[in-house]
Amino acid sequence: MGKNDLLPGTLDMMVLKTLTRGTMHGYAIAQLLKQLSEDVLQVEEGSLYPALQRLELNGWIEGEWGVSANNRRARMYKLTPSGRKMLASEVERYRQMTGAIARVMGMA
Amino acid sequence: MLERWRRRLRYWLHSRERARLLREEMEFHLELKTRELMEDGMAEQDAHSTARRQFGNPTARQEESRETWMARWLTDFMRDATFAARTIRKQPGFAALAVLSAALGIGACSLVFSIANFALFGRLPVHDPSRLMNISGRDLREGSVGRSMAYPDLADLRQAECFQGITGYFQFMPASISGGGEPQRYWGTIATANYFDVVRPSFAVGHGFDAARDDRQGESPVVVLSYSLWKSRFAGDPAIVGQRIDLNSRKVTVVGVTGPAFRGAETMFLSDFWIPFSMLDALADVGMGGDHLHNRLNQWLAAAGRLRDGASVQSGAAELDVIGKRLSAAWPATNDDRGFYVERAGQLNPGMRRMVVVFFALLLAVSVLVLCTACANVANLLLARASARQKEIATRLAIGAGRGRLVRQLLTESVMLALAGGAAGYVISRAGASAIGRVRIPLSLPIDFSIPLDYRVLLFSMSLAVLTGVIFGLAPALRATSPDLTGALKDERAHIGPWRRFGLRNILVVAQVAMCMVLLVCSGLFLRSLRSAAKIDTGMSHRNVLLMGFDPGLSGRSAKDSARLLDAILAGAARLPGVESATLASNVPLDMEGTQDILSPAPGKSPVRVDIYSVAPRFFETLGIPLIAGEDFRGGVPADDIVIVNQAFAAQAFPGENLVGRRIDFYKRSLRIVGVVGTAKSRTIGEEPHPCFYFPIARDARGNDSLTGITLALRTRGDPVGYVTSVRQTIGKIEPTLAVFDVRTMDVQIEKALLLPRVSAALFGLAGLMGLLISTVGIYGVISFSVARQTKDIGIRVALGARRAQVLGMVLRQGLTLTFAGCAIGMLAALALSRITASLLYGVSPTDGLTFAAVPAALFTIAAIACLVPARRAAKLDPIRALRCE
Repeated sequence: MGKNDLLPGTLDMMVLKTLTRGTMHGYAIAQLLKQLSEDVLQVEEGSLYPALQRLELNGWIEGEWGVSANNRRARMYKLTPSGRKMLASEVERYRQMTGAIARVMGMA
Repeated sequence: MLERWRRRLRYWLHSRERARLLREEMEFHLELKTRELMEDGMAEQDAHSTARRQFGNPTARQEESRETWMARWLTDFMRDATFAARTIRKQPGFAALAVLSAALGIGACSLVFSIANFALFGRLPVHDPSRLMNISGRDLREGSVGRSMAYPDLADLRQAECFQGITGYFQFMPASISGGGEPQRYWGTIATANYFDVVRPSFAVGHGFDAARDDRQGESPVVVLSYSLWKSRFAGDPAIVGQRIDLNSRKVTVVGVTGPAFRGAETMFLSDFWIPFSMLDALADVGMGGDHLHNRLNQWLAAAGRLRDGASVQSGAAELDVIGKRLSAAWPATNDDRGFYVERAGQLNPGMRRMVVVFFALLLAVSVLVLCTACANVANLLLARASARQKEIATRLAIGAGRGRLVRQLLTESVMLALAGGAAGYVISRAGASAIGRVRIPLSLPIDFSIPLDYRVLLFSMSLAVLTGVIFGLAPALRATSPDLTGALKDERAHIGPWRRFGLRNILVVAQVAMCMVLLVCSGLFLRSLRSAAKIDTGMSHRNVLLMGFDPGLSGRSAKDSARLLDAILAGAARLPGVESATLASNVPLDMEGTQDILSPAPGKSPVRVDIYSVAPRFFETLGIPLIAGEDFRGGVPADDIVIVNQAFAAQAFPGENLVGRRIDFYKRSLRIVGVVGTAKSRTIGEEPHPCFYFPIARDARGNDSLTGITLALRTRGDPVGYVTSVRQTIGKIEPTLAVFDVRTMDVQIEKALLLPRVSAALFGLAGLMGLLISTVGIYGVISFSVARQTKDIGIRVALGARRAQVLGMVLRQGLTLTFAGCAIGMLAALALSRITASLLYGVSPTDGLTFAAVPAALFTIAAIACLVPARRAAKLDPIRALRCE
């Protein structure tokens, strides 16, 4: 994921976080990520999809075909209980990591 | 984890559908994005390309998604497999040849492996078989193991603390069982009462002996039946438990029936019933005369023990060693040099194993040779094909395919072929094993050769297949992908040439012919040996002789009753119309079960090993053994100090002397020789003339001394088989409960004695035939391929005026040179190796001239025919079309 200029694993975590707001389709997830990051994170939108597959394989999210807001067929994703647990531990790990980096950089 | 795999599997099953849906999802994304950008005021064209740019490469993302579900190597492998399957399907003839070759080779090896597997890793179908041990006697002086032991020794062994329990048993117990039809003789086991607690087989109905009670003599006359006896004799009636049946005319209660898989505590020996030691006294007159409970010299028991939890085989063996030493010290007269030997139960008896291993080692060598021939063949076919595909491969290399990737793909193809061959080979080995299972050896002992094929054999076949696939695929794959691009792309074949002298393919064919030569010489020798064995003079006139066994001892008769019974049967049979002479004998020639003794015929003479027979009057007349001097035994009560000897004995012990009337010493008795008869084959067809003693049979003889009981022999007018019913009826009238067994003619008996030469001839003949088949295919394949490669060349020659005969000769010469080289090398190898077979041949020298002349001639002829087909095709080539081809 080097070309996306993200820390490894953070995209997955952010997708999970986004889905805590409710069931949504891929495009909506991408939009929300962009909005929340205030356009700072320049992620290739396509790389969202392998990430979704990965999360689904691990059973952290569940995809289902449903109908989008403008009545189009779309695959809607929702967080599973084990995904919620995963998110919690990822957030904790992330907190430790950034804290450590901040300390090293003398910013804390 | 499991959940992940389940999701993966679900994905694989619908992978195409899932890929399509992902595409749809991505398109939906792009569409929404484009619309949004357009709403922001962008032109449609620009919005479209901006959306795409921000999205990235959808195909790459799709690949990435797929790899999430499927590892890369797996995807590659599946693609290779599909491609290989397509190429193979396009050339069914080639595929069939390759698969057939591999199947024959792998089948032969798997069969041999399955036998080794059975002999070395076999397990008994009992509870926790790894803790069940076979315990046998060990002769410390000779180092031999697998010996029987005496009952008092067993009783001492049972103190061993490493074992939960040790049972002793004797598994060659004949008994006549009646009830539910005619009485029949069965083989069973007599065992200590804890037998079933130690061995722990499963039970179809009922249970085993009561360990607390069943050792006390005279108590609890009970029997456990085998599953097959229960099915065949009692129609699988579950109410059999608690019923009383007749065993040797004694009432015994059935307490249980073992499960179908369990056939006894020792591999290969079948038991049809089990009785406890408490019945020993009641049956003591059967087969085991003498004091078998107290005499330490009477070694007749096999033993098995179950290890306690936590005890290892080593600790068990060590403990038994200590007990053995203590016994040697306490009983020096009987137990000096005796120890014990422990190994996991379910293996072949260690005494027998050596012989079996030697025979199968030879067989394995032959099978490996067949497999090598097959591998050479497939490698050759693949090589041929690889060079035909050179252009395709060169193109792929040129557009950037990695060499490793291409090699892997070619290997996938050869491994797939080999795996198909492996599967077919497994089927072949199954067929072979079931053929061996049907072999009945000429002993009346209950021996079973059925070889169970388990997952190990399948695993072996398949691993062998992968290995052969890689071995025969690697060289062609490396060669095909060697980077000589320009030449191949230009379709330049100069470097292959019409006839490269030491090309890999030619070397393979020569090697193949050489191996085939060795195999064929081997089978030729065994076939010749079979012929000469069949022509050996048995010293008897074996036509029209009927033999049948019975055992008056089985029904617990008194001596007086036995004598009356024997007299009545002999007289009754002799009176039948068409019976020319009738006699009784303890055993007959070629039984393989007679007894032997060693004696010094006179002071100062070297000891002679003699076979002992006990026979009634007219024995020699009935079997057609000529009386040379003196006279036959007379009827009535026989004298106990007379003997008839054969010429072989006379020649060894007293050459040139007249023996009739002479006295010899035999175990402190003085015997008077009353007659000398011709030498008949006694134990095996192939033996040297063997000295024999014929004693008059006791009037009340029983089967005590021989497992075959008493044999009634009749010389009949015409086919002896027609007399079986009337003889059976006669015996039935005299004694309805007497079991008659082993009914056969002397011709059949001799046939059976030819089993070893026959089996070896069949096995090695088969190997030779397979080798021949495979190499014929190989020679044919290589020559026709080389003709195809030279089409242009031949076309030019013909166009320039070469005659058809010249073309024919040129192609033939190629093939025959290869064959000749192979034959010469094979001949030398065969000469060097033939010495090994000497011990298995009958009356044929291992360098038998006929074999060594006929085999190369035959091989050469077949090779010539194999070359002729493509050569004729070459000769018929139309030069115009040949030059235009491509």
